[in-house]
Amino acid sequence: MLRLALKMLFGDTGKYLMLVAGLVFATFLMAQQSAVFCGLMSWTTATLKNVPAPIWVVEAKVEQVNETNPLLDTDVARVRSVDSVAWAAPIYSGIQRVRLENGNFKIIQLIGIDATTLAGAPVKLIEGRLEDLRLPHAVIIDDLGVKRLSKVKGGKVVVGDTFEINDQEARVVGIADTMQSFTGGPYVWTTYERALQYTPPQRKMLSAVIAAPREGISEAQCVADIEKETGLKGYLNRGFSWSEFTAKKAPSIQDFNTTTVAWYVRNTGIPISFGITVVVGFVVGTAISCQTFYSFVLENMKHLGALKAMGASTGTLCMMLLTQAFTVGMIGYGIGLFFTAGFAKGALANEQPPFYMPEVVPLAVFVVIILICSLSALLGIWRVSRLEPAMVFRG
Amino acid sequence: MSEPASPYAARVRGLNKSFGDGSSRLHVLKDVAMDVKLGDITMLIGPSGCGKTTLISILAGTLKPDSGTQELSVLEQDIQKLSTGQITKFRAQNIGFIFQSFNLIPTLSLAENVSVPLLIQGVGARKAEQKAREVLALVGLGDRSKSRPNQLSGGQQQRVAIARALVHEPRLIICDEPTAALDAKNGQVIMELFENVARSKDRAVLIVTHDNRIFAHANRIASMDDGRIVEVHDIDASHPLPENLKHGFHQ
Repeated sequence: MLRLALKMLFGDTGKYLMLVAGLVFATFLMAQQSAVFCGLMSWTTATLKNVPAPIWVVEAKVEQVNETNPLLDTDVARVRSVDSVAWAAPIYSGIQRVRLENGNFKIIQLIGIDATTLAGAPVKLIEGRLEDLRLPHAVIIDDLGVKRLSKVKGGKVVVGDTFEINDQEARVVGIADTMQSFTGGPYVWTTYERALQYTPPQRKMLSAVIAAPREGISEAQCVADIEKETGLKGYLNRGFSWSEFTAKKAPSIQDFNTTTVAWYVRNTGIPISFGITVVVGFVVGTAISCQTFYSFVLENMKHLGALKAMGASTGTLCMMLLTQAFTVGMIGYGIGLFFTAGFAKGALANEQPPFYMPEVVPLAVFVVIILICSLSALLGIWRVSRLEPAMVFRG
Repeated sequence: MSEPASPYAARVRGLNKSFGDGSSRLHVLKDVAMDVKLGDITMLIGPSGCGKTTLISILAGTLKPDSGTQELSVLEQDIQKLSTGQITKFRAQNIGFIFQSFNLIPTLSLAENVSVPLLIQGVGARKAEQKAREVLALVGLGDRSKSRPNQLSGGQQQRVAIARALVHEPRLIICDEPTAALDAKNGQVIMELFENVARSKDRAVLIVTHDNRIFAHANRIASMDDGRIVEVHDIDASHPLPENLKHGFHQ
C-alpha cells in the first residue's frame, strides 16, 4: 500500500513538484542563512585564530577581541612576572589604511607581534619566510591581501611588492593562509615596533598581551594567576564553546571566542536579521507544503474513501499519508542541502560570504523539515480520520 | 466447496436509519426488511432519494444503522456487533465494491488498481499484481494491464472496477449503477460476468440500478420507495420479469 501511496504522489506531478519546491526553499533558506550567520560569527573571532596563543590578556573591561582598550607597554612585563606564565608577548591589533601604488586606499587589519619571539605570527605561510619579518619595512599579508592590495584590478600581490601604510613603505616578505577578518580587510603582520610606527601615536598602544602557561600548570590556573596579580582580564583561546555560550552563569575563566560571539549576539542586530530570514524560510515552507499537501489529500479524497470502503483501515491510510509527506520531505531536504552545498562551494572558494555549517545546522533543519512534513500530514490525517467510507456511494 | 450454513448473503429486519437531529432529522430508512440470497443476483431499484444508497452502505458495513435494528446479518455475521476495526477487516475479506464513478486511481496502472483489495489484505505486491492480471484477462483487458485508467473508455473502466471487485474473491459484491456508463452490448457482457459470479452457491451480487436493460439478469428485484421496500419480485422460469419492470421501475 505504501508503494501505491508513493505512485499516487509521484503521479500528481504538479503537486509533487510544488511540495518538493516548497521544502527545497525552506531547507535552503534555513541551512544557508544559519551557515552564513555561523560563518559571520566565526569571522568575529578570526583574530584569535590568526594570532594563535593559548591566553589573551586585555584591559579589565574588554569583552571581545575586535574592541580592545589599549594597555601600557609595561603591562607585558607585569604579565611576564607572573610565576605561572612561561612567556608573554605584546600584540598590536588595529584597523589601518593602505595606499596602493595606483593611489587607491584599502582597509587592513594590522597586527604587530614581538620581533624577537615572533609569537602571534601566522601559523601557515604560503610563501616567504617568517624570519624575514625582522627585515626593514617587512610585512606579511594574507591570501585576501594578495587580491585586495594588488596595484591593478584582477592582479595579485607577490613577495617583494610594496605599498604604503600611513605614508610609510611596507614590503611584502610573505603570504599567509588565514581566516578572513570580520571587518573584511586583509590581515597584515609586522613587528610590534613597526606597527607602532605605522599607526598614529596614542598614549597607550598595546592592544593585548598573549601568553602561555608554564609546563604543568593549566591554562585556566595561569589566567587566574594573571588576573589576580595584574588586575587585567585574562581569556582562554580554546575556541567557541556552545555550553559556555548557553550557560546561565558565566564561568570565572572565560573563552575569548565565546565572549566575542556572545557580545555580537547581544549587541548587534545580526542574529535577529538572520533569525527572521530563517523563520521566513520555515513559515513559507510550512505554508506551501501544508497547503499543497492538503489540496493533494482533498483531491484524492474519493480514492481514499474508496480504499477505506474496500477495507483499508484508517491506520493504513494515515501511514500512506505519512509516507507521502516524509518522502517529499526527504527529497526536498536532500535537494535543499545540495543547493546549500553548491552555495558553500562558491562561498568557500571566494572566501565570502562567510559560511560555516556546524553539524547541528543540518540536523536542526532536518528536524524542522520533519516538523513541516508532520504538520502537512496531520492536516491530511485529520481529514482522513473524519472520512466516512459510505461517502463513495454518494458520488 | 462446503455448503454455507445460511442461504442468505444478507438478512435485514426492522432496519432504520436517520440523519440529522431535532427538526432537521431525516428518516431515510423506515423499518426495512430484505433478504439477499446466496447464488442470486439481487437488484435494488427505486427513484432517486428513496434510500437505496443508504441501504447498501449499511449492508456494506460503511454506515451504522440506528439503534433498535432487529437484525442486520451479512454473510452470517451480525455486523452491528462488530467493532470498527473488525468491520473494516470484514469488508476487506468478504465484500467487493463497484462504485458508480469507478473510483479508479488515475496514477496507477490497471493491474495496480485491481490489486488494491489484495494489498489491503496484506498479499505481496508481485503476487497481487499477478492475480490482478489474471482477473483483468477475465474481463477482456488482459493486454491492457499496464495502461492507466484515463487511457480507457468508460466501459473499459467499468470492467476494471469489476475486476477490482472480483480479484479477492469476495462472497458479496455490492454494485452501485454498474452499467450506467455502458452501452447495451457492454452492459450485457458485464452482467454475464456477474451471472458467472453468482453461479457459485456461496456468493451473491447486490446491484443498485436504474437500468431496466439488465433487469432480466436478476433473480430478485426489490423496489424501494420513501425508505421502504415496497415490492419484491423473485424471477425465474415460472416467474418471468413483470411487464411493469420491462420498461422501468414503478415509483
